[in-house]
Amino acid sequence: MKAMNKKIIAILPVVMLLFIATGCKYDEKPPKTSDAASDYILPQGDLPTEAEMRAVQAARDEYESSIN
Amino acid sequence: MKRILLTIPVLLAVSCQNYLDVRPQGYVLPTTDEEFATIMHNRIREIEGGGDEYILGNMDRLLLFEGIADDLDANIRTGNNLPSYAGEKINSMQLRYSYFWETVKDCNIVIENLSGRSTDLARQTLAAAYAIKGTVYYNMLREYCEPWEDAPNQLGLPLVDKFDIYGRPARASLQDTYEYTLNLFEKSLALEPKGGLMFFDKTIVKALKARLLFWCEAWEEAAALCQEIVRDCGKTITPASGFEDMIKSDSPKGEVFAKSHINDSSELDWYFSSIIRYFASRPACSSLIKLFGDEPEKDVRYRVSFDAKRMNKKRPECGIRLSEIVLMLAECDYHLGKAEEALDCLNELRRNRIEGVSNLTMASLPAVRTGDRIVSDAAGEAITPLLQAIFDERRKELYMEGDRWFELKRNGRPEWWIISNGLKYTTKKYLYTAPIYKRDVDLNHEMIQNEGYE
Repeated sequence: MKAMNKKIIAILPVVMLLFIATGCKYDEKPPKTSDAASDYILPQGDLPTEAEMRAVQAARDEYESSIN
Repeated sequence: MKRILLTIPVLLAVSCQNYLDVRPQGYVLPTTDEEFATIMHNRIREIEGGGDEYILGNMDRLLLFEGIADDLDANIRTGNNLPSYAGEKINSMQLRYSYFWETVKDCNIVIENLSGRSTDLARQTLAAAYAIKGTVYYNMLREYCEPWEDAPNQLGLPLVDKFDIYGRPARASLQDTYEYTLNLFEKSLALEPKGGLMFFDKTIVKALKARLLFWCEAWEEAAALCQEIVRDCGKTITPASGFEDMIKSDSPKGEVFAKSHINDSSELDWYFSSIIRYFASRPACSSLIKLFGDEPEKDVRYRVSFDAKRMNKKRPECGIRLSEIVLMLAECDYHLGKAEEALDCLNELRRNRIEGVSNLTMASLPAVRTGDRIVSDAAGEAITPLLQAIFDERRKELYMEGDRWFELKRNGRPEWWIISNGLKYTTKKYLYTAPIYKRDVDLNHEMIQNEGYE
């Protein structure tokens, strides 16, 4: 009987390890529902026209002259 | 042997039994009035310390809204760390939407649990919760909903009364959102808020309610409430001699009802002392400077706001003060056809801001300028000389207080462009209404995103 117990005690850690290794392996994460990104693509800039570049330059000139 | 065989199932049965228990460990679930009051105190501490971006706001919020508006001219200089235009902030704006709801959740916990309790602490905490929730809804309504036009058929916000992790509320109409928000302020006022440790007193809540009425074009109700505030608040418009002191003061002074960041030993002081320089990295636009006329130095607001290089020197502040109420009253009176009363409000403010100024009369009002960005009012009508004068005073008075972006939105959402790094970026009409949180839209198919972001 003692020999039997020794065998069982020797096997017990192996059984426990098997339980630990194979148990509780469930996926806690919710299923993936979308491949969508979480950001929006930012609007792109356009090339300004000559007139628009001149308007900006005029604003800068007005500023420079007002502070000098 | 038997004992061992019995031990194994017992061990298996008792292990892992708490793995589905999601209750947070080490947190106190509030039950007493004091514990619920602490939830509101945490929000108020953020307002006073300058960390709050979602109720009264702070310097970060101003950096965003002054950056994307047009009082500072990004075409002259983009400036350091200021956003150039609204299009570059759409992702931080949708993220911002999600953060508003954390405050709503806190308020809902307090409202759900303290309603019906009769102690003074419970009532004052509840009043603060209603006021904070109302203010958060008002802020979201301005940022994430279109301006008031056909409210029953425009998109509003989800109306959320209690925290529910499985809830998927859809957006109500703009009309319903307005009425819901109005009701929150009314419930707060019914509890007679006293302020003090709970910050929100009766005058502050009334002023916040007036802002909502004004935004939603309830001119008559807004005018009546503004008159009540002017009559009962116990303050007068701060005269020119005290204006600079009021603006620079850490605590509410003169005509100021409430302001954020009044705790001058806040952990954020170092941060704000650093980012305040960003506001002075882009010069003021000429259209704003021209409003001060040929002798701008006579206007205390000019002296306090700009240095010799047109760079900002006014302390950016989020708060609410009497001058804003007077300006709202002037505009309400205008829309109600009471031109003389509107003019009286305007002259009262100008006398307290400009040295030796003479009263404006209907005959002496300057003609409507051409080339201004705002060309129609909130009702879609053309600008008149009187309304232009009201807009001009508002722009000068509330400069660097986060108002201009919403003035543009409220009055026709004009489109304009800036050139940055050789490319032209246009503030298109849809950009005035920020996107709601994309993950909410992805998760809830009944949640409708704002136009332009699909």
